[in-house]
Amino acid sequence: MNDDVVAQILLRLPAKSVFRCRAVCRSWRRITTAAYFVAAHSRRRPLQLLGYTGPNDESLRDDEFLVTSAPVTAVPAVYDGDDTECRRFLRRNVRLCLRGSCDGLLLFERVNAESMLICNPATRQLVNLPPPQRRTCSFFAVTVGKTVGESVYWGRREVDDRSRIMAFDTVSERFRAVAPPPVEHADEGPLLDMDGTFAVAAMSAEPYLDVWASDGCGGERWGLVYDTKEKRMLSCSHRSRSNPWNAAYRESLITVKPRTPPLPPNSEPWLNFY
Amino acid sequence: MATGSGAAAAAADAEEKESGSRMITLTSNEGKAFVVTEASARQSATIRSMVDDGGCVDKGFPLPNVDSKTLARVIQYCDEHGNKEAHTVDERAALAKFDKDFIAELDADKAFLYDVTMAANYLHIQGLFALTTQCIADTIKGKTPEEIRTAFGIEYDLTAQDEEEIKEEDTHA
Repeated sequence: MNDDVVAQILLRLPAKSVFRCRAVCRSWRRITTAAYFVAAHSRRRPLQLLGYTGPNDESLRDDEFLVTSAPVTAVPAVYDGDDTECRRFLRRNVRLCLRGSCDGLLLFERVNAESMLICNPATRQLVNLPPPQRRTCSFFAVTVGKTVGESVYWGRREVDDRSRIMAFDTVSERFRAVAPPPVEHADEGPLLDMDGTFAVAAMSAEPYLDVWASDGCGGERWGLVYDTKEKRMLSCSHRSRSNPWNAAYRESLITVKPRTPPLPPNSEPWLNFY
Repeated sequence: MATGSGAAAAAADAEEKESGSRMITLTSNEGKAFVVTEASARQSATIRSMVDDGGCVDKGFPLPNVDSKTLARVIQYCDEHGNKEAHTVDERAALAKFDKDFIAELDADKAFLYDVTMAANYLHIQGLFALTTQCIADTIKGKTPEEIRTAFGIEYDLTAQDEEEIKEEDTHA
């Protein structure tokens, strides 16, 4: 049988069987590790939710966790903390810290081992990154930025408030600095992709979360679009309420919500970030 | 208005019936000719596109990659799916039963199953290809790499470097 037919057969297998097929022979190994196969296989699989055990587990450090996964269909609409449906995603208790994610891939740091690995949770494939050259870059410089549209963004690293957000344009292949939103660095939260608009969450008055969005060109102008304290959308400070960008953004927030688990009636909308 | 669209539909229906009743000749690599209805032959996307392109319908289609035994079995599938209706629940259940018996019989003769799979791939018969590949996949499921090699007569040719990588993957997964 030719490779195409073998690939079509192996695509029908669950991830665990595909994993075993990688150890059958060279041609099967070549087929099942090819990028097109991996992509096609994960498209066919049911969506998986990833979960992790946090500081509750006393054997773990605060920022360490074990990764588990469960098919979305197996997770009840209201999650009651019962993890019987979850499957431990990594077989051994490998101590890992999640350092970032990008396009469905997770970047983990191995605790106490000073090495990193990239993991595709859909296919359970893991790849070790080459060890960093400590002489020229610090270990934690290896981070995955937030991909929004055609740019990848990295949050401010320095504590200096004058520092800027770094962006890499994947089309022109150039780095550029982006002025951060007008919040203190210490309050700056995760970078968000709001349906193609680059946004930054900030917690200036805990426990309330503000969301600042850039003007859509990855540019220097920021608008406060959502705050959880007032629980309402705010108009952008630099544009009128009627401008199309603002309307589109408001819509994007609304369309984000149904992807989160169904909310009980009359509850407040909430934002979910990873 | 209603009469007009009704007449058009009737005309289209008649045309479809007419084209469906045409006969098409498929020739195996051993030169044996099989005459099938056009509806049956249209199960194959490869033949369908050749027919629609106004190809050599009268001269028939030589299939140099398919032997007579395999072609006969493939035509058995195409006849069932091409010539029978699948509109009612009963009709669909009958087809599902046919598929089940068809694949059970093939599954008993693995080499023949692979031949039919290759022919279904070559002729682009989507339903048959899905049926046979799923059957083979079910055989693989739950087997260890060693058992898979035995079942498919695959030679072990992994290099030391491959083995190292596999061991590495296995440690994490």
